[in-house]
Amino acid sequence: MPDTPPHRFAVPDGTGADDVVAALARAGPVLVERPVTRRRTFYDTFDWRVHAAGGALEVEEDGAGARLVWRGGDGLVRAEARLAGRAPRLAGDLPDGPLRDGLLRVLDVRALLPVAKVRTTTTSVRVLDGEGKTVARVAVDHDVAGSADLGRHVRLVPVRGYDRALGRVAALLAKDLGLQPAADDVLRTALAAAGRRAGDYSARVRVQLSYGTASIDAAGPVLASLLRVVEANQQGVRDDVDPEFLHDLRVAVRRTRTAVRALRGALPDAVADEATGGFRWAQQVTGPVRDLDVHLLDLAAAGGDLAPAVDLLRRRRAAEHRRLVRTLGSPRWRDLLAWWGRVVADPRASGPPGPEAELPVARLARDRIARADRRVRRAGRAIGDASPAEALHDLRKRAKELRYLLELFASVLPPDDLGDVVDELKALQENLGDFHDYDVQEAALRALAADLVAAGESPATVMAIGVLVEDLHRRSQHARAEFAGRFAAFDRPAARRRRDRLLGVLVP
Amino acid sequence: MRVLATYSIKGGVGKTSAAVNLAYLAAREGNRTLLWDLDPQGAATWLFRIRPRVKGGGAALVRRKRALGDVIKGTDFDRLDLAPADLSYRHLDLDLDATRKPRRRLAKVLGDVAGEYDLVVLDCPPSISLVSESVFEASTTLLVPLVPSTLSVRTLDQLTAFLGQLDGRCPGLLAFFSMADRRKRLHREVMESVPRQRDGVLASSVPSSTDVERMGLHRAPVPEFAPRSKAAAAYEALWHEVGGRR
Repeated sequence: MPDTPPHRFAVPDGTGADDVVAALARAGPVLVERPVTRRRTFYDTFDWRVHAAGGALEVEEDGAGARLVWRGGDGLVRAEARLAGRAPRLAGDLPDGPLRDGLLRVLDVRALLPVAKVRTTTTSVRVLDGEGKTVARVAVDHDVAGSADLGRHVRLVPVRGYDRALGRVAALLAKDLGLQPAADDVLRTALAAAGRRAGDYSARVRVQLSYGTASIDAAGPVLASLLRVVEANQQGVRDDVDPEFLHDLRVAVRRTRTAVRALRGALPDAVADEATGGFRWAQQVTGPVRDLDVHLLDLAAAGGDLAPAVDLLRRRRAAEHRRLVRTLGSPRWRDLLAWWGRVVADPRASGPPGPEAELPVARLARDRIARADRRVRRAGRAIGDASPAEALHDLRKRAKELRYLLELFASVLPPDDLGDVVDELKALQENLGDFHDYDVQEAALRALAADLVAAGESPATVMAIGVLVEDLHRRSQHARAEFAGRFAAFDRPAARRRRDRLLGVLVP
Repeated sequence: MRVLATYSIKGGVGKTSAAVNLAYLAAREGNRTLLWDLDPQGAATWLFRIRPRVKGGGAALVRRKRALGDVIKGTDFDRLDLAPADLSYRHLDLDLDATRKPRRRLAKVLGDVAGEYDLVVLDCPPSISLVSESVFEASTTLLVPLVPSTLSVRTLDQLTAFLGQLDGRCPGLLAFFSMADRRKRLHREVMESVPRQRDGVLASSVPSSTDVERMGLHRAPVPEFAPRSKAAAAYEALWHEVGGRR
């Protein structure tokens, strides 16, 4: 396709819609439509998934009703749907059609939250050909977000099959009115006016460390970025917006525990002890709701017979969630985070530094990773066909520890080897994760079935659970059988040599 | 993607008017709609103010030298696109005949745009030919306008029989009374008796109307320039009945 002309132009102060209309009218017949005002609310998930997929999602309201409009990065509509009733929160709330089909993949379980509100008044001009056919549309938008005037922009809306006309209009606007292509889209400008930026939150934490930085000094940025993730997700957990807030919070807690373990020796001992105890408690108190979330997600796919089971779980979850909200508001929780915030802001000031405080972080990282890697290999090699499930669950924890270390210290590890090592580890983790999930689900369902029987629930429900348990058992056996091969691949000499290179051990 | 073909062996029965107005209403309702004007006369194309010109002609499309997506034009209406007619469509039969599996060809060409549209409306030339057979293969539903007379009902029966003995895919057949004049007794009698005797005759009918004729003056679908007319209401009812059936 030939170069597409820019679709959005900034209108300089002093130039109005009338000037644009006049310029277009000088070049040929035009039809000017009455100005229309739209109220627009932009939506995205907490972690900006719509933005990451390219484009923006909004609910547009004007005299004719409300519409969901999903635009791509080029400003053109990807999909739209009429909206009757409230704005959608979850992908499942979206009306059937291509919009829902596309967004389901993007959103997964995350809820849509309003991120910006804009009022746009648009004067549309249709550029006509000799037959009176509209060959291009030029829209002059005036955007206002709250009290911030975002200015005027000209938007070129192509008509399919009339590319040359579009090019002529674009050239005319550039020449006659000196319009410059606008770098930003309206969402970005509205966010900036509110002091925000698309993608300003992400659960993935990538801290840039320097090889030679003392470990005690590297501790601050690493631990602080993890603390920020915990703090950012608290409100979403309290308001119960979607299950990912709690999940991201817990992952940040787990990574914090790994980081504290790795930095023990650099951090003051008392600080490391306090943090170890505090975050172990944090993981424990957030466990029950997460377990029930996972359980409910698993059952969501199953059908009608399981409704009584789902109800029971929902009631339990509601009770656990209330308890969690109280915990998040408790002095113990608030004090932990406040204390930790002070520590990570200046670790050197938090107490007498440990013996490895001045060790360059690159060396500390390699030492800890080597140890974690040995623990994984030793545990994995000890697993035989007769080993109990617990052995694999334990290996899974060790593998996770190794993975977190590789991620936390990625910036001081050689990138190519790191990528390969992480991929190999992921393959092993996938198998261990599957086995763990099936095993845990199976146990949970058996317990649930027992509870339902005790509560006098119908045989149909219990039998439906029985079917699920059978299926899970089969799957977990399959994963168990695959383990030996997966671990052998992970532990093969070539992979070990790569790990050695990663850690800077000279390979003969 | 649903494919609806307005089809009649005879011309002048309101086939193009139906195609244009139903496509317009489908798009207005929110369906991404493509109207393909297969009639070399290009009436539908002209009504939408688009030039009846396809580079390379029907032959290029049928031989897949040109993608259907490259010839499609946007109409003045949201969600409604048009694949224009071209004078070369007058020998589309011959172009189809030169391909392998000519009856499957239109379906294959439409397959290229399957993900982009919810509904394709085919405005077919009045004839019974290889083009028609290719349309039958490609369509979910044939929509047949009948002027209420004994002869046109006979034509419907012939078409039903013809479809019945085709191998390959058979589209659903729906008929509706078109250019109906309730002042004429014959029209009234045919419209009352035929639905009782045959399946697939829709309850909605399109009246003989100057508003429909004035489409040529306004060069727009009826609901655009005469939204409260009987003709607009008739097409809306027709779309409601057709849109809901599969």
